[in-house]
Amino acid sequence: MHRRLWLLAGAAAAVLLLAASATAKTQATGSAAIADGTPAAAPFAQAWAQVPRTPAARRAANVVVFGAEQDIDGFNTQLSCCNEYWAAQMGGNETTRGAFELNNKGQWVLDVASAGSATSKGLTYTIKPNAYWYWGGKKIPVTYKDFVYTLQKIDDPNTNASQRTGYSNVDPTHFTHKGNNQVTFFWRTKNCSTDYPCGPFSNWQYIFSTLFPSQALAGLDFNKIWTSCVCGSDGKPVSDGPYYVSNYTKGQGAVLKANPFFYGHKPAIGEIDFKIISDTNSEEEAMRGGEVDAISPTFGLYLAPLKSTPGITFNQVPGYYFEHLEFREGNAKGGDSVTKGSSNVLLRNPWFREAIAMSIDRQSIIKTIYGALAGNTTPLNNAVYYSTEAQYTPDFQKWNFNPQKALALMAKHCTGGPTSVDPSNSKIWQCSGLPATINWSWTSGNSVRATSEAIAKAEMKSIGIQVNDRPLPPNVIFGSSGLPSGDFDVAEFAEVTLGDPSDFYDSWRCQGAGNWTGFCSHKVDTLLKAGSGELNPAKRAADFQAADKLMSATVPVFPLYQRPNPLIYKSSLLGMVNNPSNVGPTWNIEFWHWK
Amino acid sequence: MVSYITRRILYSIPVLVASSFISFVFVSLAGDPLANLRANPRTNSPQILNHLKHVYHLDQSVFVRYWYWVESVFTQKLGVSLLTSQPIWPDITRALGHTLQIVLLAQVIALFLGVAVGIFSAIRQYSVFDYTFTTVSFLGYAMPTFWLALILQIIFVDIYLKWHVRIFYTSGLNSGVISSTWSLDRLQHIALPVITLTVVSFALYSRYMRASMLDVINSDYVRTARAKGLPERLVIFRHVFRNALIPIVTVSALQFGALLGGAIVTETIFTLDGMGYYFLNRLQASDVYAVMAYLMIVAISVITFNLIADVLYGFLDPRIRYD
Amino acid sequence: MTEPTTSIDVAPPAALVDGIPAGIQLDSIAAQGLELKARSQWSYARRRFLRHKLAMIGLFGLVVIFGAGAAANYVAPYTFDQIDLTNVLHAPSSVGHHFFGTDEIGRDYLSRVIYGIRTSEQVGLVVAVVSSIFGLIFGAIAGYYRGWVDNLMMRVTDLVLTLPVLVTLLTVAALLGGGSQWTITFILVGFFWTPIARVVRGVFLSLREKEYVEAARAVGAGDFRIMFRHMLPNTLGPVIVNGTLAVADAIITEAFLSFLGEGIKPPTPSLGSLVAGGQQYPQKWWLSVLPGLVLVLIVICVNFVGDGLRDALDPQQRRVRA
Repeated sequence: MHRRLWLLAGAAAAVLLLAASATAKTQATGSAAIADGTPAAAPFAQAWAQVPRTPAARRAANVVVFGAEQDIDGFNTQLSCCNEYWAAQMGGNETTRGAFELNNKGQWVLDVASAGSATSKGLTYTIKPNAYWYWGGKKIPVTYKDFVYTLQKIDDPNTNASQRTGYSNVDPTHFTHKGNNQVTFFWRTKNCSTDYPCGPFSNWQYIFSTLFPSQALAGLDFNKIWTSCVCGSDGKPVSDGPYYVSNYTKGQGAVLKANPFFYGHKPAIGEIDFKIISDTNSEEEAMRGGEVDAISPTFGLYLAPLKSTPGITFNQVPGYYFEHLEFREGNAKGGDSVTKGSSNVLLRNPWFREAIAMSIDRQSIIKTIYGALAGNTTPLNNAVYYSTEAQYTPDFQKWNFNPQKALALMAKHCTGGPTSVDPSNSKIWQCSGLPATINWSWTSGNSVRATSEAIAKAEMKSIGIQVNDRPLPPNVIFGSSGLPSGDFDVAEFAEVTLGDPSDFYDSWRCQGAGNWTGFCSHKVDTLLKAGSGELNPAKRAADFQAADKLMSATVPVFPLYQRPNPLIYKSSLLGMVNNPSNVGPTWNIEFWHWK
Repeated sequence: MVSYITRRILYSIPVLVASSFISFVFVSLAGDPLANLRANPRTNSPQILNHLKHVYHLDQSVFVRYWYWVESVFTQKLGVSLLTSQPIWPDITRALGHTLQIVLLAQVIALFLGVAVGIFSAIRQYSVFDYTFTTVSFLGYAMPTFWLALILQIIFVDIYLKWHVRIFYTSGLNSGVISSTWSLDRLQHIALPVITLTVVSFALYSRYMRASMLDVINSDYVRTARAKGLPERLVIFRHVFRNALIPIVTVSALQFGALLGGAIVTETIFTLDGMGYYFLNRLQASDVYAVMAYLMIVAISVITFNLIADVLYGFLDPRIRYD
Repeated sequence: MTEPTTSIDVAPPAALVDGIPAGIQLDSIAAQGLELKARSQWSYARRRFLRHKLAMIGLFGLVVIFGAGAAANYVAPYTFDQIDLTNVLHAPSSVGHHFFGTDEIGRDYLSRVIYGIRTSEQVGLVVAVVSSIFGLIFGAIAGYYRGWVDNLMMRVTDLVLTLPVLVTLLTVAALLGGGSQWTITFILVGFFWTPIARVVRGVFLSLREKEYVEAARAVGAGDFRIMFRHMLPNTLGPVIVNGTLAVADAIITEAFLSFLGEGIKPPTPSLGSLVAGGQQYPQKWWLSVLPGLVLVLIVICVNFVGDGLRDALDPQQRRVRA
């Protein structure tokens, strides 16, 4: 007994020692080897150890620390695995600059290209003569070959691409070039399909807004590159933008160093470190405590303390974030994934949808969920343009909160409901034998949407419409059995777009791939199709504005608001400009500098 | 004994296989890995979805997909995630390392405290000490971990806001400095999760120890020892304590095995890069291979530690014989 | 009082024959002029339970809490979904009967907590009862028939033990479309029957070779008669204790699942989802702390009652807890 207990204690000690050493080992082996076999870059931890701790010291050393809210799965933003906001912030935007760039006003500006134009036949680009790739210290010119490589890889059906919009309109086999700096591509004219359409793509500046280094990536499998670095076949960093990724460690962060060969404005900050802080509350504390110099967080009330912290600039702009309601129109045919219909065919009637829209007080929802941070957020009234865009027309304004009108509309078509707007009402309208009852779906766990739903539910109850809660988990709601199958009545969710109206084409056109509502108007379709292929900006705007006007007449979807995009940074850090799109604040990273 | 162990291991293999298959079916059904792409109007083109369906094997029956996973596990060291094309082993071992540190610390502290309190409660039965700690144990056992974690978080955030001093950190594994495993910064960060996990385990161990001590104290051979005239101290520490320790050893082995899966809720609240957090994260992304890797590690650890607990019991208690 | 002033409580020995304590020396006691009241096992148990102070406190607490939950419609000052956008995030006060304050859209928190208690108690009680019954039958069959039946059933039990609760829950919820209260209850039952089956099997295994079972079989009693009339009553003690503790376990598991967002979905409030909702407003402490406190109280009370039941029903008990 005596001996056995000592044996046990010894074994336990051995196990403890083993575990401790294992923990220490797993900590030291930071980044894994790159998938294509080349050795990993130096671990983030070592670089981080050199970074000064206080903002003042960082200013002196010309370093910026940016808090990243999420870790990433890889830097190749064209792949389905890695098409993430932070992959673009931590590496994509700084290293793979393209012909055009989307600025903070939603306009395309020339970047790598000194000239770019589109005709009904194709696209022509002239590359800046001083555009180079930095590859492990070597200087390699940006040539037409990079354009071709990018196009061919993205268009390749075997690439696990997350999207081909725009690129799929361009013919990858047929192009002409003059020297290394001029190249012309052509729109597809044969083998047209929904996946590879023919004809011009109106948002053409989006094409080639990201370029890949053809020489550095020669011989590599595009599906497997850049899992933990932005580098060439020899593992050394590659970039044509203001910074290159010096190292990245999973779970910890990335270090970016200034690119000496950058063709544009010489970057003022020597080193930018992205530190991953996965918890929103600690992100806010880190900003407040000075551990990081800037953050680009998800908008929420937890950010409120930062508004009144001295030395910090709190900036927010309405983001290109389309928070809206979609109404399933009975059994109307939608995209290919739609197989089911709504539970209540009353939703086929425009008057029912209009009554629902007018019974919801969007402004009070905004005020309740965003409180002191609501700022100038107002209800959105257009289904293709955002409120900050020049072409915005508030077509949906006529459905603004008006419960009396909604009640009158219901009374006109139904019986058995309340006679006045009454919050304690319990009567439900009966319309041609059907009760005015709908199911409301949203992503469960999303408290903002749960709150909106609770408020809308109470408001609809007061005019005699009953709402049943149908929240679904995030990986189910957008899965094949969720909203894409058409199995919903009313759904609240958001679409994040790049600000171009053609982004909504597939969602609003008859039987479009993203059309889950079953909305189909041939007039709207013609206008949307024309707009998506129209290269003249004025004509384009007219097409889309007319389409939206028609849509607002029957309310197939009801825009709610644009979620604000916050950018919070130290006041002594200048040059930061908030960008409403998903391009994010690193769009002009070369202009950042300490005061 | 050896035959017992081998028999147990052999029995567990079919259980493990069946469990892995059922888990795989469940995980595959629980979510759609293409959900994020469908949500975005730019990425839901049929060609892209079909191509990815093929890459993720979603166009094949669940048996074929299970077989692909088994192949991947054995040829690629726990598999390579279909979604991210990244090997799973480095990520999961990193997470396992972090969880191990927290769980080990919590268990060791809980064991020491629980055993000590249990002994003294038993020796001084019905005293104030005993009643106080019985109440404390009840409280600790009854407290849901997520609630305790939240309260600790609220308290320490309040302290920081009021007095601008950081005693313990309320989230993450390290602050501005990436810390090594046993640095002060790391300890400050894992203090609150360790406290949370210690409380429940401590309650369990102290109750068990007390009950076990009382059982032994009232047994015949202890009465004999006392009758022989041995001093009380010797009676307690040579006879009672060692024998009373046996069930604790087995219970702690079971606890450890169960906790290796990472206290999911504690890790979520404190945003720790551990097993539980990894699991929840990958589950929400419908990353089947990563979730299966986690489940297999947890299942094996539970089975192994159950076996260790049973073997230890037989090893330490001469009255128990396994045939 | 019809009982004699001194009655002797004889602790029943381990062996039982149909619930009647055996082996009492009746003659010597009668000779001393004392009356002997023959009590059944159950009345001894009941007396011990009622004397257990902590158990009585726990029972009282449970009656209050569960009673409030069951009578939620009458006890709660408001309904759980009545919003009031002018009264958002108020701290607990006596103004407007908002004793637990209000949440982010003005709903009365006390009412929400009371309705949450109702949900929790429904889940807890149903899970405990159904899983006990199922576990009992399962363990009885396994323990009685032994051999390959037992082996197979124990491997099934092992299998259930290695299945992950969260994943199973998510799958079934995804398949059945949403986490309704009964989906969650059904899944929890699927996980909670295993310990009871194990315990019952253990008792059956040990009792199977007792003489009275052999005797019953010799007389020609059928299997079911033997199982249910002779062996089952001996398992009721541990089953009842286990079942009681399972109530607390089920409630905590459901709260844990709701906290992760995978449990019972709105509008039905659940204590776990209330605590989770409070996470975004850490300064509004009552949102997280109060529902959790109620959870803790429920679990403590259930544990007290369970402890008391264990002391009362455990035939090996040598001390009576005063």
